[in-house]
Amino acid sequence: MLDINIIEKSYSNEVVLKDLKINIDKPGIYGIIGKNGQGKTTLFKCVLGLESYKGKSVLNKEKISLQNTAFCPAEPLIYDELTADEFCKFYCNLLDIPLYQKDKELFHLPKDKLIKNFSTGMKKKVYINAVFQKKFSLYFLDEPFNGLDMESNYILIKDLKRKAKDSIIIVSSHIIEILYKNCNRIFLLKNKGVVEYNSEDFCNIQTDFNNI
Amino acid sequence: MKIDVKIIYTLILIRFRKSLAKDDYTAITLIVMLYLAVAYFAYMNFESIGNLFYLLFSDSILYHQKRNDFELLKVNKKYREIIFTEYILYGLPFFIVLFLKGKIIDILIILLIYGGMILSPKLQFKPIKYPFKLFNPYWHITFRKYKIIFWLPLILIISYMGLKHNNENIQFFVLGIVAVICCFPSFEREKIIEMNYAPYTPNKYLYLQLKNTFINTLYFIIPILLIVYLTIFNVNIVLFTLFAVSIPLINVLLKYCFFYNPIKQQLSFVFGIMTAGIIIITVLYLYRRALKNIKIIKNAGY
Repeated sequence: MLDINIIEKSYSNEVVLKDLKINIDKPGIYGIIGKNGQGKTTLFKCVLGLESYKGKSVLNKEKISLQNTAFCPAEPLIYDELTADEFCKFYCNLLDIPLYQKDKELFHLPKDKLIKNFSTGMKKKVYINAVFQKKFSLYFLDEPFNGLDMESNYILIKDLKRKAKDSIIIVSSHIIEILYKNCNRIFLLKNKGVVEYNSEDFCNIQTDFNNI
Repeated sequence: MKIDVKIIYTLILIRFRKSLAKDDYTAITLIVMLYLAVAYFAYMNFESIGNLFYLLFSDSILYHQKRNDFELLKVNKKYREIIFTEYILYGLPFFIVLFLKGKIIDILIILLIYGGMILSPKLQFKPIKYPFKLFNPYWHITFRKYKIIFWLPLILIISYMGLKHNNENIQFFVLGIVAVICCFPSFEREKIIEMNYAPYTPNKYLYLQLKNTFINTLYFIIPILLIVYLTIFNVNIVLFTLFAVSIPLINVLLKYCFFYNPIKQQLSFVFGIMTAGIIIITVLYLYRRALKNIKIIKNAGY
């Protein structure tokens, strides 16, 4: 289903990712971990076509793009001078989906406040609400749990599990416990490439992580 | 007072630094020269420029709405005087033009507006809900950021004055102002990631942007048109209305023609306004170029 093949990604003369291959053949939640600067965000951007790279990434034999993939960046790009409702309506228009239905949103947010008055976590909720209005076959979520309170993390995980029945969800996070508990497989970014762990091998991740 | 002068100097320097490199005094001198040249040009053509001259003073009003250093400036007891002097300095060449033309009352009115703007506290209101279509969020954003809705009564009053004095020129001026205001959203740029999210073809995307701008322009222009048409209703004003409505649409094309270069867009816009005929002739070319650029941006060249 999902085939990521990055032969090389470099900035100027510095190679960031090399011979990185990820193959996922069934829906589920998959984790990506790595130390800061190992290239997690770069990997997401390359796969989504937001950065140039040598290689090819396909989903069901189709080129991966933002039209068939949801992407939640670590720091969502939102507009401070809009309300949460307006931002969702804007995304409805952008994604060409039926008009915004407030009762279907994942997180409840104040109606009469501008986003600029929201906390970091609330801003993330606005973005997730907006992007999750459309059903995608592939989701890339970069640090989705950062800034969210415990209850919201629980709501998000619950929703991701529901989506994971027929979509591939790739989550990068430093909160390793959440990944251990919910992921089918975890990919550790190491030495510009990737090491893959099945659920029975999760116990080895911590040691390998410390050895990077 | 010595400290105040230093603060004002620093504030002006900060404003220059937002767009120019640090200590680039050549560029700063050029900009000051440009200011003076504009003032000289305005002085020489004051009668033909007419009321458009007063738009030059709106620069400080727009800057005041955007600035976020009040908390810092409040440390100084004379912060209001500092800001007031800063705005007078920004507009000094144009104040001199007004003085030389004997428009003392106009100077006092502008100073009163500046003073009122500085003295009025920043109040926290519930956000105003606008009827604008949200395919381009910058209609909401610019109207909120620059508090454009509060300009509407002023525009309506000017238009009413035109009606009362049966002055057609005022109505042309009002329509011109409205057209320029409706261009503000197209001077902003959506994020590239959003253009990539949109599943539309470049043709459809551009069409939707133009449609969105057209509908939103109508929302803003129709109440004003009602008053304008009460004053005059002839072929000239109808043609000018069509021109006024088309300006924001042309600016959408210019935005995508110069997506990565807002300064080129602004220059083309000013050139287009000054030579209305040429811009209308080149619409087809602009449309094709805009389309080509959207294609490139959507494919990100990768």
